[in-house]
Amino acid sequence: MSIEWAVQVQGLHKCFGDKHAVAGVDLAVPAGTFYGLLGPNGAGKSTTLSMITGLLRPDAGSVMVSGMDVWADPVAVKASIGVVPETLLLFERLSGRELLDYVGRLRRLDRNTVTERREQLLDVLGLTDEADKLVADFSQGMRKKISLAAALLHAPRVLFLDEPFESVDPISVRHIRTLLDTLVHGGATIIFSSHVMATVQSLCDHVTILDHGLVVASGTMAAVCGDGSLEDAFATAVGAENLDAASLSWLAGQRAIEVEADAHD
Amino acid sequence: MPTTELTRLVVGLKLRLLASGSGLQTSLRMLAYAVALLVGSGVAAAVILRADRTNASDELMFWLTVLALGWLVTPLLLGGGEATLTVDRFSLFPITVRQLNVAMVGASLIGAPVLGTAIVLGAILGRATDAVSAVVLACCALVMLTTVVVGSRLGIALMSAGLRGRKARDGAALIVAVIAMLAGLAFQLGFFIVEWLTPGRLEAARSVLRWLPFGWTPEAAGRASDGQVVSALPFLGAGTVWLGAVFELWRRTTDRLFTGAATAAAIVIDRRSRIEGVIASVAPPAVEASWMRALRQIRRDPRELAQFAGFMPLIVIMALPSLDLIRQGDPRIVLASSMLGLIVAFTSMNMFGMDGPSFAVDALASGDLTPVVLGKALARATLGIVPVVVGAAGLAAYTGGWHFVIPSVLIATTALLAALAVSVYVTVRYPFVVPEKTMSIGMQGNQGCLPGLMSMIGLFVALVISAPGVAATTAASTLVSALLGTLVGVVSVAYTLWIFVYVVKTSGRWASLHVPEMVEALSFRS
Repeated sequence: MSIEWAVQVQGLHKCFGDKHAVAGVDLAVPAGTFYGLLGPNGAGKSTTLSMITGLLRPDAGSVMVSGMDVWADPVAVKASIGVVPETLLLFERLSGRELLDYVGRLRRLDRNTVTERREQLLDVLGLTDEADKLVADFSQGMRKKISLAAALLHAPRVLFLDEPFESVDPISVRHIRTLLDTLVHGGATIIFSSHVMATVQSLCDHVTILDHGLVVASGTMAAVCGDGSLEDAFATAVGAENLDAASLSWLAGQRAIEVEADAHD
Repeated sequence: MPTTELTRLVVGLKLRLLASGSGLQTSLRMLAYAVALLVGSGVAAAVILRADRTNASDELMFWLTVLALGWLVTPLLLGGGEATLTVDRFSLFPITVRQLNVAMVGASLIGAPVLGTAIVLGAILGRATDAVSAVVLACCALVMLTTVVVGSRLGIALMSAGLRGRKARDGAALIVAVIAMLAGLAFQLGFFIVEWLTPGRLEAARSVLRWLPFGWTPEAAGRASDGQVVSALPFLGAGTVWLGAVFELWRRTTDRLFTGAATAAAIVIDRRSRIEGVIASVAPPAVEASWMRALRQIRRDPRELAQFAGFMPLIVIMALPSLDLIRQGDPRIVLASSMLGLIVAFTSMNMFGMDGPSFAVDALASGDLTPVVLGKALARATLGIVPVVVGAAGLAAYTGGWHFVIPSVLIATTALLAALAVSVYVTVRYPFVVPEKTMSIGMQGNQGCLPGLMSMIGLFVALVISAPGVAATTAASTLVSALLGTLVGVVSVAYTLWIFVYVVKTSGRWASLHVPEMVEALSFRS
């Protein structure tokens, strides 16, 4: 049986001046999966996601989403995807409700559908009481949630999330996870970038680890983690060294003095 | 930590921040110091050379008061000036507010404006009549310098505390824009003001200003320069008390900032706009969404309102030659109302720019950007036509020229469609982000004179496109009949409508295929 791919990336490159931010990334994301994209700061995750979603033109390489070329047919691709970008630059002078209305209508949903879905999403994300405030007055967590609601409004087939749980309260995190599970069970694909290993391990069935703009590990969660944790697999893949705590012994100074005094007594 | 050490640290921090600017910023800063030195020396020379005039002390008092007021207003116009050293940034450190205030005064004494002011204030010593008068004048200069510095810090702190709510911020932005425009106008009229300041008026102004707190020390300086040392002392004393009061007010404001007493007030949008239903009934969903959002943006963003306000005087000036026609009650004046739509044309050359960084929402939510572009243009057209209709109806009611109302609207529509076609092209092909806050020259994101230049070039192209139609409709209306003018007007509108539709379609298609370039241009990274 042939695999249906939600996203296929081949030989993706992007340079910013002298810096090679993405240096030849290949990705194949099976449809209907929860896919984790990991990497240390500056590994090229956000740049890769920006290129996959059509916000940044690659220097080289191809990107196919649901079988469509992002750069040949961006209109069709964008109709089928939802994105919560890393930097949430929203329309500051719309209220939360107005923003969702705007996005829904822009996606050509009829008014009743927009209203119905908008209120449901606001309710699930705990934003109903704050939805008439201007986005400019939203907290960081609220901005993340309203951005997620905007990305979900049209029930996308592929959803890209860049640090979706950052600054979000635990109850909302739980609701968002349920919401995302529902989406995946319905056949959608979620590509998810985060630094919280426990969340990625519990949510994702596939994972790719980037470092210095290159894929350093990729596969099913079981294949990448083996018998250990995702955090260990990540540390091994990016070649992280353990911190020499002894060099910071002054941080434990007060406690060390007390322990020493106790020993003398 | 002792206050002296903190002062040393804060002064060092400021010097380091100044030194860490880009090459261009450093060059501009050096230029600012050179200009301050030059201007300060020039004014100082004038202070000394004009000492022999009969009303010399009135003049001295008046201009010192203007100087003090200038220092109070400057932080408003420059958006806070020293953002690098706003007090909020020190709130986590173990220091008292008073210590911080003293240290901030020390840091504030570094800068080109202070250098210029110090030179000018130093020059008032040249007005001394004897040794005692010189001592009093030196005290006046010292008190004034400290007062203006503390006063400007107070202005920044008050802004910081008062503008924590968005409503206040937006309101203040508009007020600042209006002040800036008035200041610009006043600057242009500077020579007239100087001419207007006759000795009698200067004396009258002094008689009022001397009783206001910021006029106390200047009054003491004026009197000391006349040799009236004894009568100067109470004013100097009052000026010193005023300095203490300003310092204390500053300390309390800083304390409010530290303790979070200055709270934010959010705006709540709790009603649906009436026009929304009308727009929804005439436009498809995506166009309606963009149309409504653009109208909301224009209504809620003070920068948009400031733009309109900025071009209003231009329209008024353009209308001035028609005053005679209005006075004579000539019905043809109704046609002049079409000029009101030009304000919109002036302000439409960068329709994505005001909330440029949010462009990604448009790009991600609508693969085809044509409806977004069209909605934005239609919002501008709505704003352009409404004042034309109101203006035409008002002038028709006054002159009885009701038959000119429709030709007037058709002329305005012809010009607007041409202007909006150019606007759409420029908006999509050459977008640039407009910063939320004031941008100093040399700062990233500053566009210099580019926006104004693009508006003028765009308007010129629009005038060329619409000129045949506008001229034909105007000529037919005024020389033959309003009916013929209406017929010609309909043809003119059809001609520019065709251009408008063509440009919107091609620009929308172009934008849809060049999202990354537009995202780049509309972000502050570029």
